[in-house]
Amino acid sequence: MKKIFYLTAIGLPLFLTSCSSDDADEGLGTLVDGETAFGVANDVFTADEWYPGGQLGTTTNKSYSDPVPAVNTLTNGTALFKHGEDFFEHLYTYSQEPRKGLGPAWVRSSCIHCHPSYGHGKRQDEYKANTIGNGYLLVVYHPTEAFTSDGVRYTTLSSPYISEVTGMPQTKAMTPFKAPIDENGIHISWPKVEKMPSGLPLHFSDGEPYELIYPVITIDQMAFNTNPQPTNYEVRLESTIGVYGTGLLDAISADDMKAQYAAEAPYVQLNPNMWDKEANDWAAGAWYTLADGTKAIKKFTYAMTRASLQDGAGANAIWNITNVTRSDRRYLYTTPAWAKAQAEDPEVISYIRQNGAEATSLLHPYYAETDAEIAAKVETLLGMNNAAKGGDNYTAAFGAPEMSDKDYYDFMVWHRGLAVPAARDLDDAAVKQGKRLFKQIGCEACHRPSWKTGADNYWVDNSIKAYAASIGKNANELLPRFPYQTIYPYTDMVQHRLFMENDIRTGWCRTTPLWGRGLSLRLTGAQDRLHDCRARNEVEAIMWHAYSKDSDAYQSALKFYNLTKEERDAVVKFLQSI
Amino acid sequence: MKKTFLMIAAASLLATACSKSDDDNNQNTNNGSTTPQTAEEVLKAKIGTASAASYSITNDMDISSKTWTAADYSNHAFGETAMNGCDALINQLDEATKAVLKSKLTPAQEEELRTTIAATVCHVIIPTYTQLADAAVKLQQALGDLSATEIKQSNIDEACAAFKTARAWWEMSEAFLGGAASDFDVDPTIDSWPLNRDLLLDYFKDGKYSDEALEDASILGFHALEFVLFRNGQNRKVADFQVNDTYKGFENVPAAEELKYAQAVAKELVKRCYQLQVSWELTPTANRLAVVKAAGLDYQTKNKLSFSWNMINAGVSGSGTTFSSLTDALQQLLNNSEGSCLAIADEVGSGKIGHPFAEGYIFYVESPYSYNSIVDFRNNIHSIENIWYGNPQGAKGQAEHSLHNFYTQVAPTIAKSVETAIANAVSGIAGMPYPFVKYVETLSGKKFEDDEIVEIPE
Repeated sequence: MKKIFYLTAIGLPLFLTSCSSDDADEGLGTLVDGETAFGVANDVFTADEWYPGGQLGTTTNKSYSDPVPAVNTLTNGTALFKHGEDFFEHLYTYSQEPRKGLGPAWVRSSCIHCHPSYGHGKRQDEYKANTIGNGYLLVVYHPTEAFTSDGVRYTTLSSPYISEVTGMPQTKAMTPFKAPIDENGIHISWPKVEKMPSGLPLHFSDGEPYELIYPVITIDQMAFNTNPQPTNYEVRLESTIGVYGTGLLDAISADDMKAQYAAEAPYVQLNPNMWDKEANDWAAGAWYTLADGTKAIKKFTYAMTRASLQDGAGANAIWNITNVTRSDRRYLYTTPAWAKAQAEDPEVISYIRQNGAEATSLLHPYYAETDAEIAAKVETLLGMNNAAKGGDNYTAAFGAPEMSDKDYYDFMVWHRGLAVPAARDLDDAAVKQGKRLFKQIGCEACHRPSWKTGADNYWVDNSIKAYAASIGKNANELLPRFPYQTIYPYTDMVQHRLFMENDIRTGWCRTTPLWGRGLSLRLTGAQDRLHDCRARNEVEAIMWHAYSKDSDAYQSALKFYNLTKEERDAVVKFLQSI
Repeated sequence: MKKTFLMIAAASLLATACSKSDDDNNQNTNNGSTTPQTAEEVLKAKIGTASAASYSITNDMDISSKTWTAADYSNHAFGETAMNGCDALINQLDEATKAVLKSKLTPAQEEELRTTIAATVCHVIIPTYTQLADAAVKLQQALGDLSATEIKQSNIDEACAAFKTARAWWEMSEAFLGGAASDFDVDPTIDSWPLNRDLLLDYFKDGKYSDEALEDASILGFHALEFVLFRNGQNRKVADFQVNDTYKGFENVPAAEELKYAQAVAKELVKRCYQLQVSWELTPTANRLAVVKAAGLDYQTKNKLSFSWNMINAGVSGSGTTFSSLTDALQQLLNNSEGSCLAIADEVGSGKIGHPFAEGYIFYVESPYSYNSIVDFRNNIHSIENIWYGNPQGAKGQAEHSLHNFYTQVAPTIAKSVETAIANAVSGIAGMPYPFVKYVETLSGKKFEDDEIVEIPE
């Protein structure tokens, strides 16, 4: 006998199913193939757009941690990738294998602290280096202020980092050293924007409100364990972004980037340190000198400070965030002002005298017969902050590098080999509408949808070269490559200014890639956006683009502001799908 | 208000109100009425029952009591079988997921899959975390705040036993790290390895540890407790805590202070285990939720859902779920790259076994001190088995709604392949010579030179 079942849900259409008392006997029936829209072109999206990382750089899983298909072109590539992944995922220690060498001062003890679940950092109410998920770096600099036409204060390119602490300041140190910055002296608050300088109301014309918050961060001068202590400084926060797909960005050619700069230059002011408008060519500051003297165009980090992934944020971070040395980095990420303060601290000297005599002590390199000699050693050893001061001197004091060339190579296979997740729902009507609107209101001017990668003859650092030589291989064939891939990162690889309240140091920030960001809530439990996680959702992120009328993106954001609710939702859904 | 709406939505989706009540066995009655009163009641009636949670670590005697010859320790075949077993399981889990993804599910199939996912949440994930939390409480209570002069050997033994039980439940939860464990970074917080012993020593150098030590994940959780409670695979003796430690580098540390540290770490572990439990419970257990809240720990998704309702509501528009569809939730359970059955099979095969066995990275042997590696690996596969069979006893248990039942009906060949792969992975892992650290030492010709390893059994 049939019984009618009905299922209703608030907000859902009523739908009917039927079942019978002998369902169990009949079973559910076997699976029948359905139609798939994935990978199929439609009236808005090409077939390629389902693969934002191209065929060689996309995973079809919803994942920020998958290897690219190109990893399989390497001998034993998956094992290399998995071993490299370990250095990203797990915490470093002072001296315990397999991840040793943490300290003497560190920003974080692991990569995963700042890239939770491989994603973007999560917004924090306090700065604690031990909080896993805190992806913030402290940016401490001497401000030179300026104002937009509508009164937004910002700091200019003439706003250098303070020199007393490292560019990415450390708040942790091994006993007995005092961390360069005492976390107890760091203060963060998140006030609301009460009024937009651009004049836009904090609600849309249909009445839907939006709320903008921004970080106010200060560090007490006494919190700096340095000599001298800094003066006249401001502090900002910069959060991590996802690490997937960076190998693909490395494969974009300098010529193609140059064409993009040249195309934008007539219409928007570009960072004069990057682009010489009069010469219609790269400015001198756009060139970066790599470790072997090779000159390359800067393309990585918000501030455009790095030119190769093999010398980029991750390759550096595995050394300077942890202070774990390797063969081509036999020196510390420290400052003379910190070394001096530690050498002058009686508690530090006393502790080393009491605990450093044993040859097995981690403090033994600093140990000597007299306090004055200990102090001298502390200042010398902690001050080994470049190859000239370190190198063989470092090895003589501390022994072999803490990360082997092989381990670093595996780490870079992993880093370069992280895939971009495939796009989702590109056949959905709202997503298609969102894509049309995204273009129509001008977002694509900066969030350039597509690039074609070049030959991808990537630059190789000295550590990987040393490893390649040790196994008789060509270093230029040991990492995943992405030649001539059509990719969809949604960035122009150019810096722009939004002139937000308490904006990024100098105001210039490279357009952040949008690919894969829509999976953040699903994969990491958070979806904070913009460089300091001030935006809690897509709408807030977009409306920050309209904070000042001087923003490069003001006109586009204004058009977004004037869309209907349905249209705004479509744009958001599009952003969540690419 | 929002939560109420969402729960109603979920309940409505799962409710099956028959037009004519002629089911004598209807367990969904409430004061004589067939109308469910709450979303949780509706859900529980819908998902039926599963065998009660139980697990005994004495079952692992079958691993440690086997006799192995010198030739066995030199035989690569055992490790290859274990790794191949994991690889095969990965492939089968992937195939099972993709078979559903590429299909057009009938309404009945879709309803059963939704019920099955809900049942899996309620009968596997929540009980596992509850058992984990209960064991952590036992561990914490055994230690209490007893001083070194007050504590008895029975307290230490009880704590050690609870530690092993908690450890087993933790390993049996690693197939569903996706969700609260991932979003709240619980894994690195309670299971970071190796223990950063020199950092721990820093905190004892002044004779007493500081609360600041409790903020660094590299000296917290299971491995910090293991260091204090066990030495050379044995429970520490009560007399040990009344003198200084004899461990290299720790000779000036009063073991009584280590005991205090373990007590503090155990309290932190309890909070994190509570966090996992209440994050997944349909209705959080009040007293445990209070502890989580007091600790300032999160327990809901960004959209203020419990992780259970978040998964049960998968694909429900307006519910606030992070899952875009029902099959998205299935993917999270079975083949997601992180925090799924496939992910832990991969971690066991290519990482926990693969790094030391296949690649010779000897220091990647996990749990070398307690010789518990193989048990840990097997428990990881048991976590997959439990998800598949919809109960905490895996193939030995029963569940009215499970992926086993679902796939047996909709894709019987795949179901058999998955189940064969699970069984083979378990037997392959258990078939490796014990202890794992000695096996990989013999094969690689490398020594696990660590102060904590005094002697590898011959």
